[in-house]
Amino acid sequence: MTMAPAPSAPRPEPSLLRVDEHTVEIVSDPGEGAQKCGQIFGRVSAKMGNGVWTVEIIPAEIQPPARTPSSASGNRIRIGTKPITNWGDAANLVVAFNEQVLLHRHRLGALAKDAVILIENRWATHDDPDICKAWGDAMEEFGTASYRFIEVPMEEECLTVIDNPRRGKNMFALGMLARIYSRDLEKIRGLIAQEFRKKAPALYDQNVALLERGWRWAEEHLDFRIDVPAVESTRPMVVMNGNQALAIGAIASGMELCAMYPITPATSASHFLSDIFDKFGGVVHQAEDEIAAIGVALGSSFAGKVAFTITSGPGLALKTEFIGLAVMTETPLVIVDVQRGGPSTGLPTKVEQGDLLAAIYGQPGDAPHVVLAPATMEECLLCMTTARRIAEAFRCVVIVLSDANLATGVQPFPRPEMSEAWLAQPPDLAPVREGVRPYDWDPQRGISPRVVPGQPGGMFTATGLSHDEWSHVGYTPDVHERGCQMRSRKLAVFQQMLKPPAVNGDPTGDLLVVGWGSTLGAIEEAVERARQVGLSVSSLHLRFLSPLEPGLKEIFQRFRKVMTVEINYSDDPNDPFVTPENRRRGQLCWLLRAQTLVDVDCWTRVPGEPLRPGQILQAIHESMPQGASR
Amino acid sequence: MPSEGRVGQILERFRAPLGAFRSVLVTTTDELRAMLLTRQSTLGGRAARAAGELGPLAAGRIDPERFAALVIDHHETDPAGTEVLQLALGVLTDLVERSERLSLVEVPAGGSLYEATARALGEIGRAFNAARAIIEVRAGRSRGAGAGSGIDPLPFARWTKSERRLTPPLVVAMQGADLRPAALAEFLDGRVKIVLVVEGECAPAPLARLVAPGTYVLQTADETGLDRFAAWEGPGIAALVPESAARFEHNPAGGAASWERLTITHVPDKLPRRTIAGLSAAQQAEELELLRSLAARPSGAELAGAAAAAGGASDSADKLAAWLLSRVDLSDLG
Repeated sequence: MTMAPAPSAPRPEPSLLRVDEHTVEIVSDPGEGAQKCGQIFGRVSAKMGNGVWTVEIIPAEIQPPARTPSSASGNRIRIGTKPITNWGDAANLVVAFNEQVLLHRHRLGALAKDAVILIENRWATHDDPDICKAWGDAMEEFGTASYRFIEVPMEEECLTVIDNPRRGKNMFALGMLARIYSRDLEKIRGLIAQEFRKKAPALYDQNVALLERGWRWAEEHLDFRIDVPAVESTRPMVVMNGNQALAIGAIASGMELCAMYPITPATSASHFLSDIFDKFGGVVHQAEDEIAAIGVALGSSFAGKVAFTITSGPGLALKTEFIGLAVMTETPLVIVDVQRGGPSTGLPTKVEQGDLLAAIYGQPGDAPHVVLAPATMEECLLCMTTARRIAEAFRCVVIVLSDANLATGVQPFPRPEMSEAWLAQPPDLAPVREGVRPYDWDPQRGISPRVVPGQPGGMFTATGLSHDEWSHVGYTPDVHERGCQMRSRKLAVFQQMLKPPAVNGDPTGDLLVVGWGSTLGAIEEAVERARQVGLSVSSLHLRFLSPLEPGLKEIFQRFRKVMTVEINYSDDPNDPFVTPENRRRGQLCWLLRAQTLVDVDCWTRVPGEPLRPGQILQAIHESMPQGASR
Repeated sequence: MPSEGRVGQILERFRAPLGAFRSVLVTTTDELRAMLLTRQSTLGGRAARAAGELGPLAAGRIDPERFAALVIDHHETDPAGTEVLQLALGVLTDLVERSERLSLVEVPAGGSLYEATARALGEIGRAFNAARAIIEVRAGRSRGAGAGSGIDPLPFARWTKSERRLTPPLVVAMQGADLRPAALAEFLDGRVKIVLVVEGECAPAPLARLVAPGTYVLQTADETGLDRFAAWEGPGIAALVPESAARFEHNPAGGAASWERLTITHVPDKLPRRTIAGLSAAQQAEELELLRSLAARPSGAELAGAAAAAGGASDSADKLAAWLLSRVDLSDLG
């Protein structure tokens, strides 16, 4: 560790470090605006043509005690010359508003060994001896690392512009970063103007003054700059997080109603949607609870509207009964589950892929439905169209599994060329042909035409009870058997339409890494790095999880070993009492073993943060089968 | 047309219902076009449609041909039905193109207001007739174009309740000398709104005979009250008349009694002396008298009203109490 106050005299021309990618973190106490700073830095980088992936660092508590490791709040932004698909391994440059939040990141191993750290300097000489001691203790703990600390008088500088520096440090930090990475100030001013468009103009002026102050300070005091060349895209790009993408996807797919109850990390999607949905004729309905929310969505869909509900794990649990009703009444319904750590309230602000089995099997009785999982922000947008069409075509429930990593992370991607075809056709409200029954199951396919209330000749009593084709309640064995058979048959038919997934890398080899959801970028980067050192590794990423995509067994059999990588819990095979017989495995791993009868292994972690490619690479090294080629 | 400027301003006030009607026309036309494409398409065409509807995420993951073959219902092509659908598409496309003009009616000097209005509504009704024809084909009940395609103008008398609520407003430009609106009463249903832009002298209270409890009736010289009229969700008729005519507003939301609903702001000082638009001076005077009598507040009306309200509340309370008592078995209380 080197500790240096920034030199006060102007420096000569700073050194310029040119790199293909760099990872920045901004961390503060909640309320100091580090997240906003990171978001704007990420967006401006994307607008300038860099590849970007951001991850929000969110404390688990709403108001944790300030200046404690658990209060770390901020953003990690990984920028690159090429597209960036995950948050990487470690931060190369950190702006820390105090040493305690930095300590949190240090303890998590989130910082590169040689990270440059720009840290607020007021705590070292604070009047409160406890704070001075905490600073000293932290510095001692950092001592083992080789960080380069640069003390920055952030508060002092901000006080020249505003009275309350807690409200301005983030813009000062943004100015420093803008100077270090040569970000376009004009673009940043534009983003600030957008950010404060509903506030008084003076606030904009103040924030821009702080931005420029930060820029000037870095210009005068820092001896380095970093160049991450950008590549101009040939296609127009958009930049957004996964929840915004879901919301836009909902509009693009012709959704008319979003019924929700606030729950982290899903809420921001409906907030975003509520700002714009009415311009497209849509409605966001905030119900009194999760059960009411799905009830409203289900009722709307039953009445012929295109409706969805959005929630997170605990909400999904509460919706269980209505999911069953939707399955039984064969009412099309899209349910978005933005997963967080569980069980129970678990880790509201942290990522996990722990809802997979609950999403597929979490209903009493046999309730077959479709589950799909987008893997990128772009797919969050696109999946809504696919989900809607499947739901309507098969009169079924489609659960979309996103997660906190996708929800809050920001990534640029080519602007989708939206099509009117995505809106599909509205329900056919022509009079029901004589003899057509409300559940007129095709005996081969299990599919039946949808009948909407008000449709002439289509009146029937919908029921959650076991029923026949006429929707007449029936408790006889043949009625229930037939209903179950028809509802299940639809999934078999749908599975027959799916194509085998593409393998990333060679179609045969020593190890196949299988993933789903937001881990796509980290897995593929790890696999790429493994292949670069000669390992025979490929990967495969599933989007459809119920029913599973076809041909998996054949693909798996071409590899000596198959291993899932997931963000959910599994027993370590070396843990006490854990045997191959009782070992609890990753959730996708369970599914794949059951479906393919292949001895699929798993490597899973539940760190409450996205997986790092370096961790996965390490797991790949450790999991290579004996005698693997190099 | 001298009243062209006023007509434009009035149309502007009805932008919302005009837009809504046009939107319905456009949507129906698009849906019909898509339906025809589906009916006439090959498996390849249906697969292309399926690929579009499933979106880019499905590309390479879902086989659109299998989807089209297994999921999309393909009605066997019925030539007669298809012919009707094509006729309906032609009608709807034509109506979309002139959707705004559908709301404009001009009564030629000496012409019949009733006939011009009926004709305009009938033309709008062609859209409903086209929609009905589509429904018949989809339900497999079409008799084909040869046996009467049913895409002619549809007289207002044959409109359904929902069609009467969907229709756009009509703005009718005409001469005061032709203003005999009483016969328009048969069109005032659903959300039908008719605005008469009158040029030249007219009878003093030509709309008085159209006052009915649920009908908004407005006679104005300077467009006062037109915004309230436009916002009314029921039927209504308005006339922009010369300064010499009476000015009044009958707002159905005003109350239960006619005097609560009707506000007269101007009545001509002089009694009519000559025939206008075929109405004798006596008939015109009758209309003015009718107007006055409808607006006259009966003596003691406020007190009677208050008493009635109190009595009503008491009755309700008594009824509720009686009902509650009837639900409780008090037989063993002594």
